Amino acid sequence: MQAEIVVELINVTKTYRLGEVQVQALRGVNMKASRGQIVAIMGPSGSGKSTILNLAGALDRPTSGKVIVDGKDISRMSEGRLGQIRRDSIGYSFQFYNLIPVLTAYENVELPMLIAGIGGEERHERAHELLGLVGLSDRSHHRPDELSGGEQQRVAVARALSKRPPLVLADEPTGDLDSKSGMQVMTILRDLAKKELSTVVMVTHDHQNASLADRILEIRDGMIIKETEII
Amino acid sequence: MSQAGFVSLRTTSTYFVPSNQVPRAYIFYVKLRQSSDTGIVKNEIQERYGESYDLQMITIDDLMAEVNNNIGQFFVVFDIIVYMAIISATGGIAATMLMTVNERRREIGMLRSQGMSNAKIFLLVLAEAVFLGLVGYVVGVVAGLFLLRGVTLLMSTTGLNVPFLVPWERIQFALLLAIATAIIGVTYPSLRATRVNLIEVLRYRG
Repeated sequence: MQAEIVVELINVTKTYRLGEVQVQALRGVNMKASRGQIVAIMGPSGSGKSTILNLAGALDRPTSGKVIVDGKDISRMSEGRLGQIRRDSIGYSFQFYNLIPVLTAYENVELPMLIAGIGGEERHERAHELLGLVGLSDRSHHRPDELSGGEQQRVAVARALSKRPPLVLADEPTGDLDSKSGMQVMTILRDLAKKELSTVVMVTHDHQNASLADRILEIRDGMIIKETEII
Repeated sequence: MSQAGFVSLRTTSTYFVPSNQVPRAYIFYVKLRQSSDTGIVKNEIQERYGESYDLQMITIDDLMAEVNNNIGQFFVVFDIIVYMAIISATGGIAATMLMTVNERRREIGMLRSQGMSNAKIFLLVLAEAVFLGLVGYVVGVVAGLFLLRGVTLLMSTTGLNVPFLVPWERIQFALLLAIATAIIGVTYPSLRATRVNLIEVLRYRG
């Protein structure tokens, strides 16, 4: 039986206009990831890694080609429909965490569920469960500025998984952390994603982190040049 | 009124003195029968005694019109102050909310990345501005009532007993005005909030 494809990019190109200059960020990218799979995208700065994440994450639209998320072609969707896809199907973890500074760790994890319209009791149980799984039960009522970088990223991972999205996107989730905290966060992200059968697509510069993925895609000048399966 | 009295026209004539003599009375109140026409009587007195006694005739209607006119002019000044306050409040709310939206671009971007719709982002900013407007309204009403009470007390010390009445209608109208001002002031900042570039604000720190 063929595994369920959660995200797929078909012949995707993306061109940005910077004043008079046109920059081709992606030049015909093809990739897919199935349910529960962890895919790492590696490559030098400006190679198009984050552009792939933006397109797969319904934050942007391709210039040509198709982006399919959870069975829906999102390439030409309106901003309103893209918002619904982000709400229902995608969780994000960013390099700089992007936690809401006035909310506690618990409230930050609860927020995507609130936006997705999940009921109060379910939100409460899920937020506590996730904070426990990332080892922050005793820090749940602390605000982001009272947490270390590693703790904030663990909150961000819990937030990304809170509404049980089929697709989790992580943009350099350990980029702002020391190697020990980074490895800890990556292990938590991988274990949770495997447990919840979420697909993770992450951008990273760190080979050690990438080694925790099931597959590594190497990108250069807007094209995937190498694909490595990790056994 | 303790220095005045009502007298008949016949008695009045004994108190009138030609303009070159020292008068024995300065002001005469003329009470007419209900059926009499004020204008005709006024003209007749003016014709008979006006020139020789240097009279200035004022009817109750003239007096009321004059008083109302003065009060009207007084309140026009207040209305101008109120309108200027509304314009500056609208500008103030717009500037405050633009600053708020600018400072929270990252948070707004985060909310949108989690799928919050533009309509909800718009309402979120709008709600904050309306809340600000309502806080200003409550402070304004309380301060206004204290000021009104102070003015009436001050006037009573000069012998003018003006009653302290709470202007409920104006207070209700001010509530609508506060909400309308907040909504007008926040419309542009709210639209700006929905146009935050997600990719830009989420990627970088600070």
